[in-house]
Amino acid sequence: MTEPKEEVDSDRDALLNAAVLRWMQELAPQGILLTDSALNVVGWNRWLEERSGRRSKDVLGKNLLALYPDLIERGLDASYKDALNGQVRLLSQRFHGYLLPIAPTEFKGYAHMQQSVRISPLSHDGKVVGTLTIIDDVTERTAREVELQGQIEIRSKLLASEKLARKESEEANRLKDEFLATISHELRTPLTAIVGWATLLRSGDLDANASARAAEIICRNAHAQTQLISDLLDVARIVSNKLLLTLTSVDLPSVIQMTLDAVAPEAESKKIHIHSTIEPEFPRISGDADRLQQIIWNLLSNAIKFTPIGGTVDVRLRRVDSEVEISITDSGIGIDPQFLPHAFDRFRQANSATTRAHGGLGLGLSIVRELVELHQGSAQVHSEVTGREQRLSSGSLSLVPKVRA
Amino acid sequence: MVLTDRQNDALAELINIAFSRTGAALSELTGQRVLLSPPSVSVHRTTDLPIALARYIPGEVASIHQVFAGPVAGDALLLLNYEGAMELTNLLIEEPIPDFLDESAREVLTEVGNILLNACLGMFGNLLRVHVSFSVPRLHLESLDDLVASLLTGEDDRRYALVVSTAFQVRDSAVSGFLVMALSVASLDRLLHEIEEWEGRQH
Repeated sequence: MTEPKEEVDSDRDALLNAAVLRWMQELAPQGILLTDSALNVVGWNRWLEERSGRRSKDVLGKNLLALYPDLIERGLDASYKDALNGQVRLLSQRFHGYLLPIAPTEFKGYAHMQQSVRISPLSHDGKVVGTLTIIDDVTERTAREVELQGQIEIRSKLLASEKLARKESEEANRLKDEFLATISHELRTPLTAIVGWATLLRSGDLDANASARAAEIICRNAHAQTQLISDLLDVARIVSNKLLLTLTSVDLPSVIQMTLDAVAPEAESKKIHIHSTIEPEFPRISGDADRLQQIIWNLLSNAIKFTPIGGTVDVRLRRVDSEVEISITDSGIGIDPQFLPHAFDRFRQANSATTRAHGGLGLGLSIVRELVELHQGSAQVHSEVTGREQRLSSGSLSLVPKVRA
Repeated sequence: MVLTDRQNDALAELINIAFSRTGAALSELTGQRVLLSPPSVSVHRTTDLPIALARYIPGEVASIHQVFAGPVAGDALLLLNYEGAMELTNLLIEEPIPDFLDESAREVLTEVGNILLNACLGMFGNLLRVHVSFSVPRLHLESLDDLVASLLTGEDDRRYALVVSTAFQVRDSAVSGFLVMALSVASLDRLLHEIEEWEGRQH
């Protein structure tokens, strides 16, 4: 009682066909769209019905390009023509976004459900009779990839900023080491002179002229060291926020004049001409006279230090709107543009070669900035090259003038 | 098997026509000027492919593979080395992608391969006046040896490979790639015969 073989085969074929049809129509997790060779819709599965909002009875028999005219606008009809010519066409989400304009089920950030599409020719007896389109919803994947990409970017930015922070802290450490080396050198230099000349004085071998010269050298070096130590103490006060101002009514022009007198010997020894321009009838301001003098002295001695013999230094005091501005310009070596942003940092000089040539701890400008800021002002440094002459304005200071009643 | 100079020239000219169409299609798709450099053509035994290509594709190979069937049948592949595949994707989509081929990048490559392979196969189909049907293209990442092994399985007569080397030129960069068509002796003979006929018609 065996059935003929063909009958078994045809039963199985029928079963398979029914199963494939059922899967395609009801169960497939993808959109499946069939057209004939004139691009009229002949198959529209449940997945498409549920997502497109179009029932199969509303689309079957209708032309696909009439149902979705924007396929022509976006040039996607060409892919259907290729398919009718026997070619398979893929439409990637990245290039096309989507085939059919369908709202996304979730991920509402996208105007359309993101789709990955394959359009294949359907052939029968070597002739193309229609097209088969399979649509995958890749909205979630796309959103995840975008999210992942964002995370990768954030991480690489974090990594970069960590590297920068490490570099900065290493740089700060290096500067401290360098500073320690500089400070021991700077403190020892005047001491060597003092001890040396004091020893010679005590030996009693010096004549009157030499003794006077020894006393002068000892005195000058002791002053230099006092200045170094008081700078250091100021920095220590600034660091521990213990630097306080004693505010009084200050006549700024006379403060400037006093400072000019104080640096005159230094300038004369280098044949530097100091020129000052002070606005007449300058109002009194509220400030700490000693500290203001310290600011101006620091800027001026900086300017003199970095100006070659025979150069000029200009000091200007003027009112700018409700503020006052002190600017000090010199014809010195200027400041390396790369160093400019760090000019007010503690322990900084543009490079150790200038430190060796010009001496000093590199504390002056950092003290200036702190003192100016305590006065609610701001300090800036500019450097420019005019022709072959480099000009440096060592600093400008803006203060809110407070005329005391 | 070695092509005569005339066969070689004719094949290169025909493929160049297909390439210019591909370039135009890719330019339209990506909104940037994409050119394919003039092809150079050679024929190898399929088993010799690893030797012929190893220099250009030392590590993993990214292949877009399409099987074609009909009176002329075989395997068509676009081969890129992994870095080339990454670079091409980066050039075509002007936004940064991760340091690996993610799903979107793979789709992009598959679509590009599909356009190129269809242009060439479609042109051969027209030339031979036969209808060729294509499978859906697939992207694989594997070693060159594994790829060649997959071409040989069970298809004893698919013994020859037509290798076309070219470069995708996008903006200032060029990414080299290979188009490989593995054909049976009969298919290759028929192709060469038709090419000679076509060449005869050109004069």
